[in-house]
Amino acid sequence: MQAEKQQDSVNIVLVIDDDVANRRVIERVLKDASFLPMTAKDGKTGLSMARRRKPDLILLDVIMPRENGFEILEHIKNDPELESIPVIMFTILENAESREKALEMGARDYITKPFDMERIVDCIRRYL
Amino acid sequence: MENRNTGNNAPGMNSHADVNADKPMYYVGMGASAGGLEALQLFFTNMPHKSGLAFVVVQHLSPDYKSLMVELLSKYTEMEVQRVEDGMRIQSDKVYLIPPKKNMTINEGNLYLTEKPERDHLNLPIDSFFCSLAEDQGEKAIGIILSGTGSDGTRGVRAIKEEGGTVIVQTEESAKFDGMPRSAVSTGLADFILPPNAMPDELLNFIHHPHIAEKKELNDVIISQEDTFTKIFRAINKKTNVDFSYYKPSTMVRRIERRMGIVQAHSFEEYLVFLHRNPKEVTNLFKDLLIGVTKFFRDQEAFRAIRERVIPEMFNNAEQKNIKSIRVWISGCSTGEEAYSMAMLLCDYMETLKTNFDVKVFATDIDRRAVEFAGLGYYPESIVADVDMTFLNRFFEKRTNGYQVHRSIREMIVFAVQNLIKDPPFTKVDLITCRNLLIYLQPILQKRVLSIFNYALIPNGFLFLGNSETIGDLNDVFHPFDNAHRIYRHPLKGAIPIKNDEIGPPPVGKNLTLNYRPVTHAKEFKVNMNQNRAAAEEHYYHSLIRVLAPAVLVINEERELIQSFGDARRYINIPEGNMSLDLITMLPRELSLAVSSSIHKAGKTKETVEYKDIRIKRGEEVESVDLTVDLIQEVKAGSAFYVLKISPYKPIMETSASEWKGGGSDEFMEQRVNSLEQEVQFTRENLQATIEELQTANEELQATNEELLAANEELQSTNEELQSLNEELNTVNAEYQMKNQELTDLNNDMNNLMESTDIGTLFLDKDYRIRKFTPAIRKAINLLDQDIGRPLSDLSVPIFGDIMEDIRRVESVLGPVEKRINHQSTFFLLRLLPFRNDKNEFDGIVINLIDISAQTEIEKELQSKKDALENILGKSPSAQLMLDENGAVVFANELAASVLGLESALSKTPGEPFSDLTFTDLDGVQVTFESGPMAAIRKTGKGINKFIMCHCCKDGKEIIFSVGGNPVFDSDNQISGAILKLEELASKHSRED
Repeated sequence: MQAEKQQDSVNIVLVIDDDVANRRVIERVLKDASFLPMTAKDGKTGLSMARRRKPDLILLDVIMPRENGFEILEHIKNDPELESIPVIMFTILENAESREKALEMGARDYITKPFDMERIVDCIRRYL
Repeated sequence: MENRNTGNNAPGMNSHADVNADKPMYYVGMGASAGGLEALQLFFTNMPHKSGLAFVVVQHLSPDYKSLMVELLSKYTEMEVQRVEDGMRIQSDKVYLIPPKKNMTINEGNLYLTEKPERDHLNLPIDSFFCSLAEDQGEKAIGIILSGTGSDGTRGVRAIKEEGGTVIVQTEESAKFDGMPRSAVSTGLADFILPPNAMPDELLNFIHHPHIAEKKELNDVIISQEDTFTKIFRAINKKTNVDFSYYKPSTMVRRIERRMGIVQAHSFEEYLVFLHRNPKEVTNLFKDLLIGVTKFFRDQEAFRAIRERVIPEMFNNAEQKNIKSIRVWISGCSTGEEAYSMAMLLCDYMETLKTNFDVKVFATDIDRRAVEFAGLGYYPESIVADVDMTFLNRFFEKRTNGYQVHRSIREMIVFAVQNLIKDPPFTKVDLITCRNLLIYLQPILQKRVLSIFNYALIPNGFLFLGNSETIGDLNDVFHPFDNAHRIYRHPLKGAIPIKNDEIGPPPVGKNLTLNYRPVTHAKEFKVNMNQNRAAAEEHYYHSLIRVLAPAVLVINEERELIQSFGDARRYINIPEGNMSLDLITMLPRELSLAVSSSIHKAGKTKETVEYKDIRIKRGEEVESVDLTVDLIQEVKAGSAFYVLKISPYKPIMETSASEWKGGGSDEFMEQRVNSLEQEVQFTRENLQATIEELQTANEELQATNEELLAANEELQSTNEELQSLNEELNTVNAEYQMKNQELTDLNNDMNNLMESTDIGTLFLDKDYRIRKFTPAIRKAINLLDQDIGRPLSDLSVPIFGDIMEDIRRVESVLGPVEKRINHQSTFFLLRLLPFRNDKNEFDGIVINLIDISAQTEIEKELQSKKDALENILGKSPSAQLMLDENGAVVFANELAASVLGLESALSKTPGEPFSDLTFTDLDGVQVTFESGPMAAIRKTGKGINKFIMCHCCKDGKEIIFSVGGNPVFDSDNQISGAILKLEELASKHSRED
């Protein structure tokens, strides 16, 4: 186990994913893990939500219509308000290039779909 | 509509208008059935609307449908067309239609309706109306028969003609259905046979003919046309050998006038010329004159009297005399109904007797055509109204359009053509019927006919006349037996019919030659002789009487006493018993002997004959007389008479000297005399015996003669019987031929059916023998024609397998048995069924062998297509499940199987669901049908998406899927299942880390 951050309040995790099924499942998993999930279906919505509520972590889907995950990641990192929030990429793409790119751009980690429910929780906890 | 009789007006009463102003001149009854509408339309189109006639239309209407006839006919005529109401008065230039469900009659020019009985299976409205019309309007009735099936109207036509009316029938060619017209024409009574459009013209011509229209006083006509009538009758007599001079003039004249109207002759002379030029018209007139309507059991009450009283009496009489035969003579039998009626009654009665009688019925008529018709015994359906059901069933056979009398009855009757007046009658008859014939004859002829019957009937025989006939003067010969029904008894033996010399010259036609035997000479001779005697010989005889003899008798050739002189009473006695003028019967025996032999001798030798010393016993005394007989011949007359002189005996002194032998004493002479007397006595007795023998011989000859006559008649009858038998055989033959043809046709149909069918069929009978098979079965089994009749078990038919078991199952279950067979790589369907006969009993087995290879191929193809599809599905790169309509998983492809941790994709029988495949939702609640994807699909009828389901695999791994699915439709476009695609979203391994 990694060092756990002590929680004073519950941790808010923002999930940006265009697929409603994914959102629901992840939401469920996060809830079961005592996180407080927020879900957004695209970058614009997600970013505005993030500005308002300042989540503790952002789970970011890559393949989405309009703006894809990488573009949104750039926005986040360019936004002074948001750039400190840890971002975990969350995608079906499992090639090395994408992974590298994500990390280079500032993402903390890269989880592939389908995901293992325990692993994803562990991963989130690690970066909070 | 005017003149509708409603409410309070009595039928027929029209309070305001003049009743006679619109009274029709003639009443035209029109009978039509199938195809009649067209005929009626043609008729009325051509009928002027002002003719002075009234038309009453009788049709066969269905009781269930509203008839539109009024509207339909109104289009074709300007005359008013109306539906008849009860009590309606008939007016001229109008058309009246019978309503459905009603019977119609006419009385005094008004129409009356009655309800038709429900169970009236024989529907003859035309007959019943026409008969009523004939009775009501007589000569003013006109009957028209149009298109239709059956024979309705035939009886009505006869009734109309009988009452002096006129009949028109539609031609067979112009009629859509020719049954009714043909039946009407077959009576031979149709006056006109025309197509409907030609009828109005002819009809109008006929009624406007002067003799029809003006109706002169009958007597005037008879008197003024006497000569012409004589000639007309002569023309008929020449052709038909029937003399109508003595028939009632009124009927004859009316009928002649009618014919004139029909042929459009404008005077009797013109008609006579027409007659001479057209032999067919003679026949037509002859037929018209003879018209008689007869029917079965005419006057039912009278026939009942015959059955209950006369027939038993007849049989009793015969029984008592020990005669086992009955002879009945139906004279004037016309078309035979009366004869058959009588025969049926006789037959009916005989069945109640124990002994067998030989019953012979002679039925005669002058009309050859009617007799030939009668012989066939074929009558139209309308007879059902006259013959009661039991007789109809027993003695008739149903034929198309009518009935035929049974053979057994027809064999009892001999039909023959006979002229009652001229031809010799039947003799020794038990019962004679002569109904409605005498009324047509003048009294003189009636008397002659009755005296013929007198001769023909046996003592205690019966005579049966028509309702309006009597025996007139002959009531000493015929005694009433049942007066109300005109049945008479004939107690005595009848003498030979009265001699013709009592009939004087006929009143009409003094120049007519009567076809009777010539007047005998006796009468003439009597007259002559009286005249002669008066003149010359009177004196001679008178003196002779006084001087020579106390008694002189004059007799003729027949030994009948003509004159007597002197004290003839001495010798003449009136004999007991039947009166006769034969002198021999009146004389004392001894004298009669002498007289008879002396007459004989005198007649032969033409010389005077003397007998001496004839001893006549008078009680105790004996008188001796001499007898002298002279023959006197009248040269002119050619016949002779004898004069007998009886005088007291004179001794022989002056006479017969040659008789004496010379010499001898008185004693010798006395002896000689004695011996001579004895000789004479002996001779006399001999003579008597001879005479008696001769008399007997004579009687026997007479009897033989009569027997020969009767035998001759019987031969003639037998001949006719054979003829009719022959015809019957022909008919039966024709029927059988037709039946044969039908059977042949049916057989052909069957054979063709069997051969055309591609289904191999084998028929077995109850004992499982082969009865029949179709050619198609030879494809599988080698069957030959010789195998028919062999039991199936004899043949080895590998294809059938254990067929006997199947057969027994069919028989016990009485239902079909089916199975599929693969024989030499061909697929068959073997089907066994019970064979049912016409009584629906089990009568065998039907085996069908149907080649279903083609079908099987298709099945295989389908199966392989299905397999191919499953293969495609199976190898799909996404995890897919197939659900049935209930949401159960029936198929998981390879990927799905591996993801879900199943053994294999197709391990189950296709269609059986995976029972261990369950899903839950995110909360862990099991997904049921209602909450599951299938229900969602069914609800919308469309696909679903992003449906989240979780599955726990056998190894504990939990997987969350996003499920999308689409419905699968069957051929009826109903949802029969769904295909789901499972996208793995997340999983959780159990206790791995």
